[in-house]
Amino acid sequence: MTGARVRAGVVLSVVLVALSLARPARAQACCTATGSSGFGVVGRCHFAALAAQLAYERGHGSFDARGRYRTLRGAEVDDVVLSLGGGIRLGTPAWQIYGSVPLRLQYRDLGGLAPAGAVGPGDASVGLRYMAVEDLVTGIDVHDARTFVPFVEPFVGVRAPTGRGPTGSKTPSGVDATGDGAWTAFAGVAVTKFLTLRDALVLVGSWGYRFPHDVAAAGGGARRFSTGQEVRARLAFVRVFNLFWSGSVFASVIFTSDVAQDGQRVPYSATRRVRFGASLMRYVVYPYWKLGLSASLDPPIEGFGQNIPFASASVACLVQRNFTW
Amino acid sequence: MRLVLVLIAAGLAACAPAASPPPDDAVLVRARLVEPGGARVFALYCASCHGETGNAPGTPAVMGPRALDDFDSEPGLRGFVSRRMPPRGTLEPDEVSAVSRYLWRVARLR
Amino acid sequence: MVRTRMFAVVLAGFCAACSSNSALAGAGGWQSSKADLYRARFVPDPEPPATGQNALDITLEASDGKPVEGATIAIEPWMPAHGHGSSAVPVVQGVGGGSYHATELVYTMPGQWELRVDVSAGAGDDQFAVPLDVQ
Repeated sequence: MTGARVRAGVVLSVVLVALSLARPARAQACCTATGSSGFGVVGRCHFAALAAQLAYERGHGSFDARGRYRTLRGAEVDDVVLSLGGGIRLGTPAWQIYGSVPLRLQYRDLGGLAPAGAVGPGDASVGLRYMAVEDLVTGIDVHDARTFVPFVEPFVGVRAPTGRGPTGSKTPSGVDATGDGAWTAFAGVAVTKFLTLRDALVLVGSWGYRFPHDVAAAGGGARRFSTGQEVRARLAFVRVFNLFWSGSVFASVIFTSDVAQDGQRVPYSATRRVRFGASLMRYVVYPYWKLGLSASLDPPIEGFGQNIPFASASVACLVQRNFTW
Repeated sequence: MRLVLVLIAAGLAACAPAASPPPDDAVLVRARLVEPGGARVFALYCASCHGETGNAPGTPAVMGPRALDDFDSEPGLRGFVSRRMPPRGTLEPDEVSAVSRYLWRVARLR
Repeated sequence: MVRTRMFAVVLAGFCAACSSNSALAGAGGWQSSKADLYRARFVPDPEPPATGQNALDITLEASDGKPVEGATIAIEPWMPAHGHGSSAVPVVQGVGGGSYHATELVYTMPGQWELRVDVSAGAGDDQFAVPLDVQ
């Protein structure tokens, strides 16, 4: 009898979820798509947003300098990251300032060392974004050139070394290293194009200049370390199912060029990280509160990474509060 | 316990409040092409409450079947928007005109 | 016959050089210090080196091939691509006959590391740079 009731409940919930997805009401398509181009970014129809995301990342392998993948052996790497972020429009719908700061709980169990954990802030970032061009949000009509125009949002920002850099670590395993150790200035553009009233492609590209910094040498003195410049690209497909539900899939890549130490380029030190992921979002209190779930992975495929010590898989949940005009 | 969790999930899925029907896609596209300025004002200042298709729950429908039937004319709608919308903040006169024309066109294109 | 034998010896030597452990360039092979004051052989433990705690066996000779005893050796693990080392300080002890054993070598992550080995002994101060591929 109990098993029959459980089965009935499962069938009922599947039917109800399917019905909710099939409702004709359409969602905040352009708000959802334009707000998906970055954590804490305010969607087009909102005045401000606050977001919190809790993510769990687990290392599964590494990529060496030639892109060869190896599974982690004798090491366990687990991170829990609480990110707080948000944005607000600066008096006009075109401009917004946004930012985020992560709090990292890190765990390392490396061969021959006692397992250790540490908590600390990661590197915070802040950006300024301008909506330069707007999509009519009609979908593409080959007979009307206006329908090809996307949203174009250039942005600039900085990432600050608010986390503890690797050279500042005080633990044998480096578990307390929560940041890059370097300032980064970045500039880029987010392009969102509605293919239909419900489907959008979001492409975000940026270039980052990572400032050189001094690194203490073991025997005293310092080395001038120039982390490679960084290029990021992310392509996402966003589908707005209805007023409440939306989903997306994405692929991203981060490149950094060879580093330099005391003016000398270090060969084979460039990095590359490819990541794939998907997310699902739902308004739980329209139009104010939104929940999201996402998962992403650095695929364990030769060549998809380079000089990545800990390639990882991640799951995250997000809660966002939107503020209207 | 398992049954309770299943029923809670079903309840959450069903609890999405109802929304009034939106306008046809073709109507929306046509109105946005003809009144792009008004469509923009609506997207920026009105859609967050009324929904992008003007039929979000908890607010009066401003698009779709029978929306705006309480208004006899576009000037009547414009006067209402000018006095009452958005609830916090104000629109410039040209924004009021543009969004009123846009909504009136959606209503007339159905 | 002599040419065939010579060819075989050369070929064997070539193959031995090629088959050197990819985890450590020159592993089991000798390398010279920067100013050519010394020659040394570095054998990691475990081999290949692993993320976490490791050790290293060093055999040190002077340029004339004589074992060097009583040298002061300091090691700094360094990750060139990331610009950091490790907070653990390696400890090096002599075990006699020009051999030394280093412990507390901690590689905090897999990837390309470099050991900066400073040697101070009778012939003077010199340095080795030893690349490692930590797994």
